[in-house]
Amino acid sequence: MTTLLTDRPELSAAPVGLRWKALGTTVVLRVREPDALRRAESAVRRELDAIDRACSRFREDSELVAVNRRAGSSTRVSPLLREALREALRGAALTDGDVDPTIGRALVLAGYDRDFELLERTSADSAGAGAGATPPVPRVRVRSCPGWQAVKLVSRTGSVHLPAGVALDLGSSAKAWAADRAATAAARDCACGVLVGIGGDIAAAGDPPPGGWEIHVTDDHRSDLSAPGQTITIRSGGLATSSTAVRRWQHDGRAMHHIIDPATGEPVSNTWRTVSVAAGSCADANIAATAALVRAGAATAWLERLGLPARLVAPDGSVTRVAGWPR
Amino acid sequence: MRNHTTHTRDASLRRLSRINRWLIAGSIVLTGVLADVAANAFHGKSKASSSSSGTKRTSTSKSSESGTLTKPEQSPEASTGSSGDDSSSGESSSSESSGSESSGSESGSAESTESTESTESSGSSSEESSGVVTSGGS
Repeated sequence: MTTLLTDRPELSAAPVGLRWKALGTTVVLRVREPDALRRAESAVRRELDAIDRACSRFREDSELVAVNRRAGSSTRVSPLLREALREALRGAALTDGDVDPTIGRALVLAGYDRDFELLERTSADSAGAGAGATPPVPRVRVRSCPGWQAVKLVSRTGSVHLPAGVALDLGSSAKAWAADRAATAAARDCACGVLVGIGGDIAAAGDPPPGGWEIHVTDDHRSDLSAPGQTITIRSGGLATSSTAVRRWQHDGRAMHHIIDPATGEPVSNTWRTVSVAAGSCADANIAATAALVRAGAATAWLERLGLPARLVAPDGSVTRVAGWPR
Repeated sequence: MRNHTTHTRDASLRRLSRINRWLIAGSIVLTGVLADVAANAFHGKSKASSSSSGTKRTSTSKSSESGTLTKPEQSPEASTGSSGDDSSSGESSSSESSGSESSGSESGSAESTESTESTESSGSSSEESSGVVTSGGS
């Protein structure tokens, strides 16, 4: 167990932390009480395992894969997947469909059809195969998404109905929602302040350290602290960052990334490179950050109107702050 | 004979009146059912339009503008012990622009940043040596 290093006197009750891989990305955990670390880890792992079994698009045995396979008919699902779907549809409703779980088919058509580590490897292999090699991937066929209203959740029967040809992807919302659930569960189990980060989407629960939780905001959650960005503190709620600078791959000679505009089915325009948003929960922060990338030039006014502190970075590195984001 | 004709007429009028009432009620119910079927048959769409500063989205629906994305209880604060913040990458003076502040710049992008993930093994956890957590795209 390691006590984390900090040169800040107000953080003398230093949190301790762990890092591991789950949900196809990195999970980080911080707790205020060193003795509670393993208990918090168990709670977080339990939550994430259950969510992975329910919501993964890349696990053959996941419920979501079964739902997507049975598109065109109704499928009974667990309460956990129902809640994840409800959360995804709530995000779609709050953004007029800018964050839409029915982008699954568009992502597959764009070449994002497997776990990203495998995709990165395939992309690198095909890039290194030489000019004479035949590209192993089909031509990109872009199409707009069917729309979140096409998904029917039937509470009475506990089932979900997808129209034929529709595939769901909960990647955008499920990680942030999982961070909220995991932080709440861990804080409850260890009765202390907890911070959970899943692929850069961060949720806090319980009492924070005296100086707050320190977070370095940057393009890529895997970066170290020397990466360009800003270090801030939060005390509760959530913070999420969406970026077009990560999860990039080559598909049939085109540079692709994972933030899809549901209206076109194509990766979003390059108005912003990275958007970070603070909100009352990580799920809400993630919805706002992803929608901001889709809304492009209109994002700043929208975030300001909602009163969500946000930091938007343009492709040239210039930074725009709204709604009280600190300098 | 005359009595019989009057009775017949009155009975026919009552029958017609009843039929009319049923027809009106039926058409109201049918209108409702058809409206519900039509509402569920076609999903709404967001309308995108272009502007000079990039793609700007306008919405056909105002439903989401009620703003139920929850604000944080407290806004984030600048960290006093921060490293690698905007000021270290050449922040310029701020200016107000349509309700938002635009300032500073940061160089580099994800492609140029260093990954710390290579030391992690899937499933097993490693202890952290820094109290600062990174929030970035994933």
